[in-house]
This record gives sequence, structure tokens and C-alpha cells, in this order.
Amino acid sequence: MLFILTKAQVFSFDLIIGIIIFGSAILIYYKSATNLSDQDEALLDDLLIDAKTISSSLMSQGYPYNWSKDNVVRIGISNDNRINKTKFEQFSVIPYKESRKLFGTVYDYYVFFRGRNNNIIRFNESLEGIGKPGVNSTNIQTVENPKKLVKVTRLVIKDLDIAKMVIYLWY
Amino acid sequence: MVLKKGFLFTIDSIIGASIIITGILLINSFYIVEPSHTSLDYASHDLINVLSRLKISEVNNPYVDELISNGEITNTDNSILEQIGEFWALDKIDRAGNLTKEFTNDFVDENLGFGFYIEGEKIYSKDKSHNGISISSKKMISGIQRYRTREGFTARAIATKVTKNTTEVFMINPTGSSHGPGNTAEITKKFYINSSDVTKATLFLTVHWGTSATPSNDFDLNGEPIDIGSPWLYTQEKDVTHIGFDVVDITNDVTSGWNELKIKFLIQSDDHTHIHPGSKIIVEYESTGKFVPSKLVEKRFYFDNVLSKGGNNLNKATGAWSVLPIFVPKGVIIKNATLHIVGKDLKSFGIPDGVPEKGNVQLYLNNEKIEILNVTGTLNKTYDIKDSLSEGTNVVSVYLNCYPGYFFGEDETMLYSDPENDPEGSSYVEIEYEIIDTAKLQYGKIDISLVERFNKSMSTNKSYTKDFEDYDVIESFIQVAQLDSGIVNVKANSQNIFTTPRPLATPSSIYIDSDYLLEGENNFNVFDLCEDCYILNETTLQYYILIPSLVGYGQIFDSEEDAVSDAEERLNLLLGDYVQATQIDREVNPVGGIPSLWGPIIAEVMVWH
Repeated sequence: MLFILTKAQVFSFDLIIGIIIFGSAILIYYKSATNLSDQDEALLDDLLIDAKTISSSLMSQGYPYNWSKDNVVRIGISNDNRINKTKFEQFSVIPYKESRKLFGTVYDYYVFFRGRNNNIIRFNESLEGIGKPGVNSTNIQTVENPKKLVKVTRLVIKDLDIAKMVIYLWY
Repeated sequence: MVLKKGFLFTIDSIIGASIIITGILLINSFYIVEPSHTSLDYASHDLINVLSRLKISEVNNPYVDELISNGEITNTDNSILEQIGEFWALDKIDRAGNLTKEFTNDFVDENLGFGFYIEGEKIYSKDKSHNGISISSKKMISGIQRYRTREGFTARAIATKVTKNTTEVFMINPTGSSHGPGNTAEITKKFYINSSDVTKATLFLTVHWGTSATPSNDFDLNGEPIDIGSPWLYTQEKDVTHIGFDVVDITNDVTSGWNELKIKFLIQSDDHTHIHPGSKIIVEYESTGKFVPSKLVEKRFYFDNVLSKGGNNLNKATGAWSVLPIFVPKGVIIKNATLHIVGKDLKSFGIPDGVPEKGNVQLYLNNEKIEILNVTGTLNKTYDIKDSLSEGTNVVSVYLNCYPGYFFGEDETMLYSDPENDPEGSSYVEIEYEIIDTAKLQYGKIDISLVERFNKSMSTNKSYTKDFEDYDVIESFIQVAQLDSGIVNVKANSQNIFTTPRPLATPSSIYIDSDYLLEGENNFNVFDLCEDCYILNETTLQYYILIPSLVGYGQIFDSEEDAVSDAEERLNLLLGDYVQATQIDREVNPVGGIPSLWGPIIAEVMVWH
């Protein structure tokens, strides 16, 4: 009789405690997950706005029209969707921090081109794209471990063909 | 022992729950969003822009190279978009689709659907399920499609001989005199009709005669009497004298060549009988020939012959007076202008006191004296009036042995003019000018003169609106018709064209240069400052238009006959109702392989999620 009673008491107690613990854990998780989602959404929106602004700037001629790294006010490397090689070279020698100021963003960026079959079009032997030093089109996740990352793609004429200009922006 | 077992289970569950929660949180923190924001508007807008800006000549693409080498692409200056459009225009839809695919497929994100359309027709698409959000960008394109036109014929036509229905106005300018009952004044008007096909001839005459309500005047045309004033169309009584205006059909009385109208006034009272503005002969006839422009223009206008018969006392006085206009267009240099005046049998009773100008011969240009002189016998003088002329209508006034209302002469007076038999010995004004406005020198055209009557009721102020449509008007005239006449003003489109320069000096025709005319509606206004001097409905607008006599090469036809038929049809349409081509020269030109245009068409790129 005692054996039976003892066994019954142990099972009921474990079950009650387990349910309380799991219920609390699920409540805590959803509470924190919801808060995190709101913050992420605002950050994502901000990244997207900046990424679009940077893409519009790059698709323009820039200012002054014949700008160089020494007098640039707005970075633009395209005229009628056609990439201007000289301006792209000038863009590549603008210090990264200064370029971020010119783009008006606090986030990190990386710009590069893809051609047919998504092949990357390198600017030259040593330069794949322009942006945060140490970053390339394949290592952003591993090197920067970004909390949020957005991508904007624009179509341009480059090197006698159509190409995609890809802009990554992250935080 | 049982109790211990229960505690162990609780700890295990706490540890397990902690591990699960930590795991979930860690997974959540490691998750990174990489949303692809090749937004729809960017995608469609960028794609149609790069396709419209990338030239065939600059692309390095094997497929394009193949199309060029096999002759499918003939114009390497086309953009990719234009080339797609050209393939579409040539009904090579497959080629258009393949070229579209070549330049779009690799560049539109995999998560997007995409379609390319021309004039709504699908050229190429990459299907993907549609969730309702789509953006399209459009461009209008056109181009030259080569070697599309088949071989054929085109033709042009030139009317080398024409007959035209034209209208000529012969002025009968204000003219008079004679003074005293029983005297006569005979005015002889000679006019030349250069056609044997008169369709209509009309005489308009305004006569101011004496105190009897019944005029005692006779009118002959080519020796046959014509009935004028039975009754008058309009009459007006003024200061116990009478004025009558009539319109008479003289179609059957005129003849080809010289015609002679005799107006025989029998004077009834102390007043003199004379003609007022508005007298004219309008002849409509068929004619031939084209307009032959000349840089140097010479025109001569003859006075009408006036023979006034009276006696040797002041109650049987005579005189002859007349006015004649000289027209000076804009944009000309006057080379010569002369007045030749011949008066016969001049003899004065003397000029009464109170007459400012003491001469039995008084000659004026507008309101300036040419010469005042006393002559007995014959006057035969020529005056250079070149420097006194101004643009528009100038009026020469000639008074021989009289200045109506002030004095008259003795016995007989003649203002001599016989343009038919003695043109050089006649009285006339002549002008020679050089046209420097080359816009007025138009070759190869057919000139037509048209006359339209003013409408509405008679008034001291009348307006007439005329739209010349597409006709090229080279000059126009207003022929003012009145009973009594004072100071007449003529305006064209609110610009003053003419004001009567001195009493009795309103000519029967007033010149309006084409520079005063506008495209579309033109307003002509005539008014008289005298309160009972009416402008009649018979006032006319005469205008000269030029009609081209040829049409150029037109469409391409399979046969010569069709091409010629088309050219003739276009020519006849151009000549309109006034001109008939009696001889047409046709030139047929075989053509082939000429470029022609395609488009404009709408190309559209649509992208959707």
C-alpha cells in the first residue's frame, strides 16, 4: 500500500514541476524573440534605405560631373547606366571611411560586379570590388559575422556587356 | 529512496529545459538575414535602359556576331532594344525572342518573373508564379528597316497645260464732269478680255446725277445699248441731287479682246454728273497659262477717256476729272513711276476768287500737288512721280478745266485715253519696280483670281471675314461700293490700309499686300466717316492665289499604271475646283531596296515577384 502511494506521489510532483519549468521557458523565449524581431526590422529597414541610396548614388554621374577623389562631393560611377572606368578607379582610391561619409551611411559596404552566369567581374588582378578592407564577395559572413546583411542589385553596361552591380551593406 | 528518485528527476528537467532554451536563443542569434533587394522597379527600369543603350556594334557576344555574319543584323548602330524591335517588325519573332533571352536571362534575379513585350505581344518571358505585384517599364522605339520594300514604281505628275477659272476686275474709277443743263459728258472705258470663254460678266455702276429723279443718261457696250438704272438697285437723294447704284449682267454683251463701254451723261442742272466708287466690271472666264513671276514688274493703268461738251458761257461749262490708283507692294524697289497726262481743247473762263489753286489744270498725287498750271489748247506732259509714292494704294487726281464745285471750263474738254489704238499717246500712270522679297517670286504655280462679295446689310461700317485656308495668297484688293462717298477707310486685320487722301479721291480698288494677311481668319473692315455714305453689300474682296502645278513622287506601286494613276489623282486633288489640267507630263521611277521606317512601337519590360 505504501509502495503504491510513494510511486504515485513522485510522478505527480515531477510532472507539475516539469510543466511549470517548460511553460516558463517557452514564455521567456517568445517574449525575448518578439523583442528581438522588432529591433531587427528597424535595423533591416535602415540598411535597406542606405543600400538603395548608395546604389542611386553609384548609378549617377556623381558631383562634380568630372569628380576626382580630391574634390568629390557625391560618388557616382555611371552615366546612362554605363560604368565610367575612370570614375570607378577614383572610387577605388577614396579611403573607406571617407567613402562611407560621402554615401551618408554608418554601415559597412562592399560593391562588386557580376556578369553572365553570375561570374564575378574583377576590377583588376588585385581588386575584386570596393568596400570594407579585408572583405570580398565570399567572406562577408565569416570575416564580419554580420548581425544583418542586405543586398541591392542594379543592371549596368560594363566591358561591352550587361552586368550586375551588387551592393552589400551590413551591421 | 523513493523521495531521492523524485529530486533527481526535477534537476534533470531543469537542466534539460535550460539546454533547450539556450540552444534556441543561440540559433536565433546566429541567424542572419540577407534579403535580396533587387526591387521590382529597379529591375524593370534598369533592364529596359541598358537594352536601349547598349549598341549592337559594341557588344562582345557570340550570338550577336553570328546574327551579323549571317546577315540577320544589318544595322550595327541599332541598340539591342531597337534590334529586337526590328526583328519584330520583320516578323522574325523567334530571333527577337532569342536576342531578348541572350541579354536578359542572366541578369534577372532567379526569384523574379520577367516578360518582354512589343505592342503587347509577348517576345520572351521567364515564368514564375505571380503573387500580384508587378512593375513594368516602357520605351517607344522606331528605326529603319532595310531592304524591306519590294521592287516597284513611283510616279510624279506635272500639269504642263491648264485651264483655269479666274476672275478679273476692271476698275471704273470716279470720273466726271460737265456743268450746266443740256451739256454732255461721255466717258469711254476700254477693257481687254484675254479669253474667248467668258462664263459671267457683271457691270457695277454708281452714278451721281442731277435734280430730276429720272436720270437722262445712256449706256452702250460695244455699240449696243445696255439697260442700267431701270430701276436702280439702290438710290439715294442728297442735296436735291440723286445717286443710283445698279448691277447688270453683261455676259452676253462682252467679247473676247477689246471691249468699249460708253457712259453718256446728259447734265440736268448746275451740278455735274459723275461716277462714284464702286463702279467696276467683273468678268469670270476660263483662261490658260501659269503664273510667270518676274523680279522686274511693269504695270500701266489707263485713265478712261472723258469728253465733256459745253458752250461758251458759264452756264454751259465743261471739264474733265478722274482719279486713278497706283499700287506699290511691300518689299519692292521702285525703278520708275510716271504720270502721262493728255488733255485736249483746254480753255479756262478764269479761276474765281476763293479758289486756292490758280490753275485750270490741277494734278495731285495723294494729297500732294504734282503741278498746278494754266493751259490753253493741248496738255501733253509726263511727270516722274517715283519719289512721291508710298507703299500701298496711291491715288493720282487729275482735274482739267474744272475743280468740281469751284470752277469749270469753256466749250469742250477732253481727258484723252485710247489704250486700244494709241496706248503711248493715252493718259496713264505707269510703275516699274523690282521685287526684293524673294518669297513673292514663286515659280511653277498657277495664279487664280477670286472675287467675293461682302455680306450683311449696307452700313457706314462693314466688316468681312475670310479664311484663305491653305491657299497661298499673293495679293488682294478691296473694291469699295458706295452710293455717296466721303472719306473712306480700309483696314485689314486691324491695320489701316487706306484712307481717302483728298475729296473725290477714293479709287475703285484698294490694294492689300499679302504681308497684312494672316493664316486662318482675316478681318477686312471698310467704313466712311460721312454719316450717310454707306458701304454696300456689293463691295468685293478680290484675291490672287497660287496653286502648285506638280506633285512629287508618291507611294510605291507594283505597276507603272497604278503609280501614274496615283500621281494624276494627287495632282487633280491639288488643282482643286479652279484648275483643270489639259496636259500632264508623267515621270515614272522604278525603285527597290530602299530603306523604310518601322515603328514607333512600345517595348515593355515587366517584372514580378
